[in-house]
Amino acid sequence: MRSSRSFILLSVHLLILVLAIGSTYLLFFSELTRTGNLEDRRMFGKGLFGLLVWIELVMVSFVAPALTSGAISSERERQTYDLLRVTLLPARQLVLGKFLPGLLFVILLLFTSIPLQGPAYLIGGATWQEIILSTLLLVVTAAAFSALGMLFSSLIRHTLIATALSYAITIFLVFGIPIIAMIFLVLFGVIFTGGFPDSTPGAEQMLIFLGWLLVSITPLGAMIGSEVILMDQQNYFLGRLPLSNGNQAVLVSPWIPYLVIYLLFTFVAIRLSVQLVKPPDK
Amino acid sequence: MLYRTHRDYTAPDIQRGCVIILRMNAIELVGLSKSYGKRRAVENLNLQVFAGDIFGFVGPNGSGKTTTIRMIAGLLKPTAGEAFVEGYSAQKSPREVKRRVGYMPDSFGIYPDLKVWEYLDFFSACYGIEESRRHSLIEELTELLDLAHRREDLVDRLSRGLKQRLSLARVLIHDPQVLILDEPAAGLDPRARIEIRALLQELSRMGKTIFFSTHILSDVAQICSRVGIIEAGSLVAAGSLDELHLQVLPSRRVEITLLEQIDAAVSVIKGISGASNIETPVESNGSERRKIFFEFEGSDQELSSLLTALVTNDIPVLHFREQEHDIEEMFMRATQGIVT
Repeated sequence: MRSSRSFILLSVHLLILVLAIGSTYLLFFSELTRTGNLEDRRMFGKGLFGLLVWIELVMVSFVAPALTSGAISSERERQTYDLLRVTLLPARQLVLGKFLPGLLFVILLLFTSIPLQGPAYLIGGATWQEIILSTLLLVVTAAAFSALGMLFSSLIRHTLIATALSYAITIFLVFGIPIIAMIFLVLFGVIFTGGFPDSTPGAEQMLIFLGWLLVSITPLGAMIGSEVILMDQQNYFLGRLPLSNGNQAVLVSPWIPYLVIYLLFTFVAIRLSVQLVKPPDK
Repeated sequence: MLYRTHRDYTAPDIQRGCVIILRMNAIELVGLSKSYGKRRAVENLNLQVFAGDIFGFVGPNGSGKTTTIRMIAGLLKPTAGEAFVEGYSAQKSPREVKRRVGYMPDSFGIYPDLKVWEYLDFFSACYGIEESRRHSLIEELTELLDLAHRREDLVDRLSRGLKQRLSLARVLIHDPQVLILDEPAAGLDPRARIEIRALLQELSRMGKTIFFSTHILSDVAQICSRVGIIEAGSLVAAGSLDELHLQVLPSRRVEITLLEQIDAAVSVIKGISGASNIETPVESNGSERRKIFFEFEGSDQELSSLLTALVTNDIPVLHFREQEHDIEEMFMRATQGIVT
């Protein structure tokens, strides 16, 4: 991060966001101003907010693992790994010293883009709580993806393979699971029938739990799921889902289990990386 | 064995009346072995390197030098046995060993975007050296290794010889007593090689123990106080050059220069046991001096008695000397070209 690479990355990131938000705003907002419908404006603001968060999520998915997946393997490749291992530097410090700068740089990218939420906020598309919550989810996602890159970097000797594996998992989590979930839901006919057809109450509850779990382990699912609960039920923490027997299933808003799962994963991945860096070669 | 005791001295040592000084083992390898599956890279290595030694670790490619060095530095786990540095086990007390060892691998790892002083500053931080001390320390080290004028240069722009000096500076950053260097002169031009050799001697004078692997036998002959020859993972010979000579080449070549009475001298030499291959080449430059060469298998005392016998017989001896040890010959005799 000593070179101009970080500056260029930051500038390109902000430029993409400004172009996306600016062009969307200019294309649609003049039309909305003419009609004067406040609800339409609010929904447009929501769209702007969602677009920005989605672009940020894509950025986090690609940049966070890239910054850490070469952290240890590149030391091996340039033959400095042994030089570090014979120093008094503890393995934990070595791993954290590689993990934190990468993560902090992604956080810097996220924080510098917060002012771009301004238009969405001003036209009522996002509250400050939603902005904080989305930033928190993105930061935790960045931590987990950085830790994933770190883990592969400690495990695999070659940076290229470590990066490819990190990307495979992040892309699966961000895009793969939602696509599989969509296919799953279509196959079970939930979308077309509006419920779980021909199922016993137990099976229905099980399917709801599995769906909730699936939503809670994917960044996109957790964000959309939490936003849907917030919009429909104005509740940040709990959501209620009507069951076919007339009762309601109460579920914790997906962002909460998401934070717990991803923070736990981050912790475990970093611990494993430390263990992998620690012992002498076998 | 942390200290050399009286048991480690031979009878001739004591007969010579040498002063027994207890020397600490800087490095001790006890039954050190390393296997990769069925292949044995290092097998039952037992070796002592005394404090203050410059120990040359010689062996053909693939003989297990780097594997041994990595086990001493705590980078590789032995399959059996243990490596000790100043009494601390590299496997059980790695932190204590790291404090005492400066390790230089056979490859030069670089951070291309760091300057020379930043590279040293980074590693001094890795060794936990306080920030307030680092500046003066880096100045001292760059002066010692003649890198002061390149302090602001990027590491990547240094020549191989200067990179090797920088590596030595890095090795010395935490002031270790034991330096473990893997092929420090490999790939250097003759000047850089001579300079590195001089630096190693200077470091030895500063009290450092130096254990280095090399292929360059002339370096070993010039600077090493003790040598170990490894082949196919086993130590085939170890000791000072003299001891090594006795181990590997049981006979030594003796040269005597006389003024006259060459036949009488030859008959005296023939009369002692252990002398063979006696040659009396004719001097081609018309000199009055005559030389006798012969192979001698026997102790220093027996060789000394021969000189006494020559003098007692009134044979005018001008020079009496043992020829220099040829390390290449010793190496070739000790090794058989086996590679694991």
